[in-house]
Amino acid sequence: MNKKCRIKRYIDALDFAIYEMVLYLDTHPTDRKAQAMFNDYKQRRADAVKEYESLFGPYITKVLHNDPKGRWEWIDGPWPWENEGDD
Amino acid sequence: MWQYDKKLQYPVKIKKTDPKAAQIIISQFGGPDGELAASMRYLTQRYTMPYDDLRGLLTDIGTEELAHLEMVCAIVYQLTKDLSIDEIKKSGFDKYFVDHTTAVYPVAASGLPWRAEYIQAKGDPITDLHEDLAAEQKARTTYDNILRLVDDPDIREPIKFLRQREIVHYQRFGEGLERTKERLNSKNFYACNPSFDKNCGRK
Repeated sequence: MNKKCRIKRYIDALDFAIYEMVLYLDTHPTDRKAQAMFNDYKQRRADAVKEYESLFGPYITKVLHNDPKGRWEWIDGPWPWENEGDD
Repeated sequence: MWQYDKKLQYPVKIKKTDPKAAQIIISQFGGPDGELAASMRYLTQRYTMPYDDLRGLLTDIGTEELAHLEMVCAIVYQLTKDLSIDEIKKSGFDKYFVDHTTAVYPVAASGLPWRAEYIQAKGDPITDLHEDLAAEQKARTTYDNILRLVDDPDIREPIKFLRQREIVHYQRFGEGLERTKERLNSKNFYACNPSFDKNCGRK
């Protein structure tokens, strides 16, 4: 797995961990330890995206993405159900 | 409203097509205990939930189920990509192909199209949460059965992930049920319906 793929996978793993904390916090809204874990994962995700973008350009998964380069990259493939691309 | 994250929650990278497996796995898209039913069930029930934690939980699990629906469809899509007519005939996939080509259409493995009767929104939180607990176990058993039928590790990996998520959702719904009972009369949980009756339990 190359570096681009590895960082993408790491961001995906963090996104999963973050969502898992969302569900847990829904039924444990006053759990401070869980809130701290949630914030920690979010910070690590922000750092990983920053590292990705410094090496490979914009990390685009949301339609309201940052840094539109004068062409609408949102529609660019591969789309998630296709088995193509560098990861 | 919804935003879309342009990626799968867990990777689906299938190297070998298999229309027979696709016909089985499609049940977790359009079948009675599949991800379309799960997402519609939770996203529908949430409107009349009387407590914020349940509104949050049903919204957030319902949203995750949409992501799982997407994964199941990605599996079916990759399993049926670039099939030859010979493969289509030999696998029995021709019965689906004639009506849908290789489109991903919400049916069960039996061929029965998805129906709203697969879900219930009963407007009572105790009742709805029991439906949700059962739904997660039914989905888990369906994934167990898929794992009995499928050997390809490329397919098994995302299926195992999806199965594990059902178990976690079951846990969360169990907690939701406990929180609900804590707010109601401990001598009689069924005295009133907090989704409908005024002054029913506490918030």
